[in-house]
Amino acid sequence: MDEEIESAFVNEIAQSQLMMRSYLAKLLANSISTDDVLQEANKVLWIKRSDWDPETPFMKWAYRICYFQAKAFLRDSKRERLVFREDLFDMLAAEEPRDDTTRQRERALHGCLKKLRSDDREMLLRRYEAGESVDKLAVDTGVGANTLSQRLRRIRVRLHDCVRRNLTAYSV
Amino acid sequence: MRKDEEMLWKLVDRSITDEEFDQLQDTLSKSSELRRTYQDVMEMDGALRAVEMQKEEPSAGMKRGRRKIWFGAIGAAAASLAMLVLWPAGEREEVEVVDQTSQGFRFVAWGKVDICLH
Repeated sequence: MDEEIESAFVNEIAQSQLMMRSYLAKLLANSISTDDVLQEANKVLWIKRSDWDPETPFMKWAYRICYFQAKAFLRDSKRERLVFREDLFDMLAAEEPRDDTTRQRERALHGCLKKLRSDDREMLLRRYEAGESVDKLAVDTGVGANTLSQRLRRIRVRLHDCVRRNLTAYSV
Repeated sequence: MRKDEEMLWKLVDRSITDEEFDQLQDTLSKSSELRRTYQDVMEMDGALRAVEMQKEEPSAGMKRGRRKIWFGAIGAAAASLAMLVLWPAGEREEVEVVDQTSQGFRFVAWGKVDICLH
């Protein structure tokens, strides 16, 4: 693999991390091991990089490798509680995210985050900090865990609706 | 909110019961619209994690001697790959990639870069 192609490969793999992670999270029902499987998929991509044809869509190939890594993970891991039935797993895997909508969604999300009340936004972003579980957040904010969980869900539903509206507006 | 959408959000939070998960699987199998929503929700969840990481990431601090570079979990994977290929050979000694979010970042260096595991 020459240096130019290798550099293009690194660029592709760096840009695809978010999409690969979302795809794996979908297949693994948002397992806490999603990041581990992503790392494994990255390793496989890197090892097989000489197989990559720069003329073909990178994401198609990346999703295929993610699919097999997710399957291998579920086969080897007996501790996962939430595992999709095989037919549904394959159905979900076949419906790959479209690259253009994923990027539009990211842009829309940033816009919609700004529209949230600042305390809602802070609360939501804290939820995504490492180790900031709902329980810990509940202790910090003095709100019951169930109440907080519901509030976070409502914020995300609002955010999701806002993103959906924006995407519809883009597509018109 | 519809019951099936409520269960989707519970799945994202991993607070769904086994019984609800079975119900959700049945509905997901039948409804392409719900599968689309599930995909959207997961993409949003992933994007929110990325937003949080971007907010946290200070600029990479380079010092002489042992270098420590802070990245989020996803960024670290990409950064490692980039370093493997693009880092000038003479500067490859002792680079430490740290997953700031403590999400167990691990990556194989294949002998080119010394990546410490945290």
